[in-house]
Amino acid sequence: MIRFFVNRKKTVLFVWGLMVVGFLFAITARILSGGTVIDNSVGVWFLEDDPERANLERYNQDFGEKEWSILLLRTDSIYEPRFLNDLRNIVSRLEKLDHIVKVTSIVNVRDNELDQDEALDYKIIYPAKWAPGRTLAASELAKFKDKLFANPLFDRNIFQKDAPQFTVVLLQNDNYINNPSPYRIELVDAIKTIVGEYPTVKGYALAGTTIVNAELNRSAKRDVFVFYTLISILLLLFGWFTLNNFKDVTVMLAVVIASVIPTMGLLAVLDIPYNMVTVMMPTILIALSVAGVIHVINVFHQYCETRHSSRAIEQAISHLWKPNLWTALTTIVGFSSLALSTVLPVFQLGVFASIGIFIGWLATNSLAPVLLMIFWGGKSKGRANNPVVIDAVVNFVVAISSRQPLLKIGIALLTLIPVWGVAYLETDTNYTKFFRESAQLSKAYNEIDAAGYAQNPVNIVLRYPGGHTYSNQAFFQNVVRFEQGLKQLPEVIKVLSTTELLRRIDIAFNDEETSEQQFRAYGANQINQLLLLGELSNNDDIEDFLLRDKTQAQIVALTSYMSTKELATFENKVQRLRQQYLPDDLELVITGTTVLWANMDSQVSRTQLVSLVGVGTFLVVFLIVIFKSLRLGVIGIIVNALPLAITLGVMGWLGVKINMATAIIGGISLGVVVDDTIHFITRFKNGLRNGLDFEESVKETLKTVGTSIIATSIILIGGFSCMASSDFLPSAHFGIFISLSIAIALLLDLFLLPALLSLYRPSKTRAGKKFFSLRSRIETAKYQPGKYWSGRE
Amino acid sequence: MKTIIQKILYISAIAATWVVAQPALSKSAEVLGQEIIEEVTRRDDGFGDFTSDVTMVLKNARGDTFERYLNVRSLETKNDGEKRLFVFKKPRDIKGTAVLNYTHVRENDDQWIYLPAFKRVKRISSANKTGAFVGSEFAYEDLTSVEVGKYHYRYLQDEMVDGLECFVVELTPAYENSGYRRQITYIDKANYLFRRVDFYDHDDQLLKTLHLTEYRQYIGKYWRPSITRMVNHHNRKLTVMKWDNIRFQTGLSGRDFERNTLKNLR
Repeated sequence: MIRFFVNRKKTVLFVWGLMVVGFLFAITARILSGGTVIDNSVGVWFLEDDPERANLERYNQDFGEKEWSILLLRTDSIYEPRFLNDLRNIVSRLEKLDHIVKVTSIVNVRDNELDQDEALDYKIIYPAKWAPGRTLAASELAKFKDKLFANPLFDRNIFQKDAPQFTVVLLQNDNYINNPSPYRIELVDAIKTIVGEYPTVKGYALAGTTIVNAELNRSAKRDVFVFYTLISILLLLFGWFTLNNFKDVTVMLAVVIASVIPTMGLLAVLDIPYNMVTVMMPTILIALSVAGVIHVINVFHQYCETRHSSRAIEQAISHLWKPNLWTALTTIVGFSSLALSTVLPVFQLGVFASIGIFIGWLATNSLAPVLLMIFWGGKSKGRANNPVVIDAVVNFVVAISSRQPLLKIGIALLTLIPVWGVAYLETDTNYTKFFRESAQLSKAYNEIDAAGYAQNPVNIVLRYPGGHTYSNQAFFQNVVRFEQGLKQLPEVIKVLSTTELLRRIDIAFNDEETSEQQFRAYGANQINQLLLLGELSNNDDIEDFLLRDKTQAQIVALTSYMSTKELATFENKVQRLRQQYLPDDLELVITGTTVLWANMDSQVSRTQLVSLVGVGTFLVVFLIVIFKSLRLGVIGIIVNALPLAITLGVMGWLGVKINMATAIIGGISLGVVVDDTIHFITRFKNGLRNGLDFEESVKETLKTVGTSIIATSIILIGGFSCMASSDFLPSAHFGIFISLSIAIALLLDLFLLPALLSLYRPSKTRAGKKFFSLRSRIETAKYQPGKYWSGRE
Repeated sequence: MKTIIQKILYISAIAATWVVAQPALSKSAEVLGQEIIEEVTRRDDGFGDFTSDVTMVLKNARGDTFERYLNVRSLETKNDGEKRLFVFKKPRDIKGTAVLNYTHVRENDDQWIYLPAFKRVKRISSANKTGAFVGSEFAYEDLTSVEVGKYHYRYLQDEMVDGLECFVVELTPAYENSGYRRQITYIDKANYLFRRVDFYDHDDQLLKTLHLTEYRQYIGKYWRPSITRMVNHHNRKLTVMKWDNIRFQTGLSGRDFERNTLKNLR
C-alpha cells in the first residue's frame, strides 16, 4: 500500500491539496457570508427531543420568549435629582434598544393610584413629566419616595430602603432559544455603552442568563483566536525542538493541516456553528494528529541510518501502520464515547473529533510518507539529531530501567495518594464561576450579591387542570398559601406573581388593604373582576404572569445565583411545598434558562460515566486482543488508568467540579494516553520476538520509542496547555487536567511501564509459546542489536 | 449662447412655478383629506343611539383563542364624542361588570367601572388612550368615534381595497398621549366607510392593521361593520369583534349612561 502512495506522489499531493483547499474555501465562505460561526444559544446544548428543552419552549410559547436581566447601578444617592434625570435618559434609551421588551426602574415603575380626578390609574410613580434636563423639586422628590416606599413589591426588587446608593433596572429582553445570531453580545454592549455615558452612575453590574450567554459567546470568539494562535506557535516551537529540522516540521504541519481543515470544513459545510465545546476541537485535533506522524518521522530517520530512504519509509509505515491504527482507534473510541451524550456540543465534539482523527491517520499513512520521500528522497541518510535534552532523558531512563523495579512500583503506588481526592469530586456547575474572578461578569455577580439583590429568576409555572383556572377559589387559596411558603424559603429574595399584583389592585380598588384571610377567601367573581379592572386600568404587567385564559400562571422566585446543585436542592424544596399546599392535579413546572442549564448537569454526569465505562471496557478488551496477552493487557490498563485516576483525584482535592467541559476529560484522557503505551508494548513485544531478553527489549524500546513518546507528549501537553489561557474556566480546566494526565502518563510510561515489564518474565517455555513463532525465530537469527527492525530486510 | 440662456430661463420659470404652487398643492391634500373625513362623519351624524352584542375573540401568537361577550350601548353626543356603555355578559365570573365611557374630542375620556362582586363603582383613568381595551388588541382610542377635530388629515392617493376603490387618507393625532404617530385609513369612495386602517407607532413602524368587513346598513342610513379584525404585527396577536343584533335609535337617553345606573344593569 505504501508503495502505491510513494509511486503516486503527485496524485497524493493533489488529492490532499484539493481536499484542504476545498474545505478551506468552505470555511472562508462561511466566515465571509456573515453567518453564525459561534453559537452559544441555549438550544444548541440540547437535542431536539430533550424534555427540559421542550418544557422551556412551551413556556416561551405561552409567556413569550423573554427573560430578565439585572442592571445594578451605583451612585451617591439614587434620590439625587441629577441621577434620577440621568436614569430617565438611560431608561428611555434602553427601551429603544433592539431585543429589549420592557424596562422597569424606579423612574418608570407603575403602581395603582388615583389621579387628580380621583380616577384609578396604573401609572408611573415618578412625578416628572419627561423633559430633558428637568429635575425634581424637593416636594416632588418627597412624594416620589413615599410612593416608592409604600409598595412592598418594589423593595429589594428595584431599590432598597436602607441602601440608597444602589438601584436596579430590570430589563426584560428576548430569549430566543434557537436564534444563533449574536444579538445578546450586541445587546450587552449597547447597554454598557449607554450606562457608561452618564457621570452620575459611579458603577454598574449586569447579570442574568442573557449576559452569561453573551460572555460565553464572547469568550468562545476570543478562545478561537487565542487558542489557534497559541497552538500554532507552540506547535512550531515544540515541533522544532523535538524534530530539529525544517523539513520534518513541514511534514508534521502538513499532516496537522490535512486533518484539521477538512474536519472544520465539514462543520462549515454542514452549517454547524462553533460553541464552547466544539471550539476546542481544532486545538485537540492539532495536538492529536501530531502524535502518529512524529512516530513515523522518527522511525523513518532511524531506518535511514541503515538503508535507502525509499526503503526506510516503506519499512517505517509497514511497521507502524498497525500501532498507529490501534492508537487512532483507541483515540477515536475515546471521542466516540462522547457521541453517546445527549448534550449536543459534546456529541458534536465526539463525532467530528473522531472523523478528524481518522483523517489524521489517513494523512499520516499517505501524505507524510510522500512528503518524507520528497524531502529526504535523494539522501541515503537523513537522520536528524534528537534534541540533547530528550536524548539525555532517554539515556537516563534506559540506565535506570533495569534497576529496582519494585522500588519504582512502590514509588508509583505513592502517586496513588491523590486518587483519594476522587471521593471529593462532584458534579456541580455555577455558571457565574465559569469565568475568572477578575472577569467583569464574576465581579458583577459578586457586586449584585453584596448589594443584596437577586440575580436569578426561577420560573415556576402552574398549569391548571381542565375546566379550572387561576381564579378558581379552591386553587386560589392553595396558591396563595404556596406563595407564602415560597417566600419563607431562605434562597428566595422576592416573589413576583399575579397574586402580588392582584393584592395591589385590590388595595387600590377598595381603598384599603384587605386582610390576608379575606383576600384568600376571594371567589372567582372577585378575582376575575379585579383582574379585569387591572386590564382596564392599563396594568399590562399581569400579562407577564397570567395567560389571558388564566389556565396558566407563573410565579417568579427571585434568588441569588444558585449552582446547579443548589438549584436542585431548591427545586426539591419547591416540590415539597407543592405537595404540602397544592392539589395533585395542578401541574407545577420549574423552568427557565438557569433550570435548563442545571438539568444539563445530570446529563453531563451521565456522559462522564458512560464515556469512562465505555472507553475503559473497550480498552481492557482491546489491549488484551492486540497484545494477545492478558497480563500485557492488564499492565497497559494499569499504566493508563492511573494517570486519569490521579488527575481526577487532584481535581477533587482542588475542588474543581465536573461540568460540561471537564466531564469529557475521562474518556478523552484514556483514549489519548493509551497511544504511547501501545507503541511501547508493541515495540517491546517485537524485541522479544526478535530474540532480545526482557531487559534488553525494554532498553531497546526506550531508546527508540521513548524518543517519540517524549516528543509527542511534549507536543500534546503544549497543545492542551493553550487552553489554560481561556477566560472560560471549564476550557482552561480541561486543558490543564488533560495536560496533567498526559504528563503523568509519560512518567508512568517511562518509569513504571518498564518496571512492570521487567517483572513480566514468563518462563522460556511460556514465552516461547506466547511470542515466538517460526518466523520470528528466523528473524531472531538475523537480528542486530541497535537496528531493531533490520531483521526484516 | 442664446439657446442656453433660453433654457436657463425656461428651467427657472418651471422651478419658480413649482415653488409657488407647492403650498397650494399640499394644502389641497390636507383639505381634501379633511373633506373626506368630514363626509364620513356627516354620513354618520344623527344616529342617536345604538346597541349591539359583541363577541370578542382574542387569539394569541400560538393560535389559542379566548372569548368574551359583551353588550355595547352608544349614545351620540352633540359636538363631543359619544357616551358608551360596555356590559360584560360572559365569562360568567365577570358577568355584570360594566364600563361607562364618555369620549371627548380633545380631552381625556371619562371612564367608570362597576364590579358587581364588590358592588362598587370606581372611576378609572383613560388618560392613557394607548392602553389595551379589556386585554384585546384594540386600544381605547381605536374604539372611539372619529371626530374631525381629533386629527390632522392628508389625502395621499386612491387605492383598491377588497375590490373597492378607496381614498387613502393619513390621520395624524391632534391630541396628546396617542399611541400612534399616524394612521393610514382606506375609505371606500361609494359609501365613505372605513375599510382598513394601518396604525403606525411612534417609531413609524407598522404596529397594527384593522380590517372592517361585512358592512350592513341600518334604518336605511347608517352603516356598521359586522366584523372588525385587529392584527398586531409586533406580538402577532389578533382580536376579532363580531357585532350582532345591532339596533339604532332604541330610545336610550343620557340617564342610561349615568354612573348611578351601573349598579342596576343586568
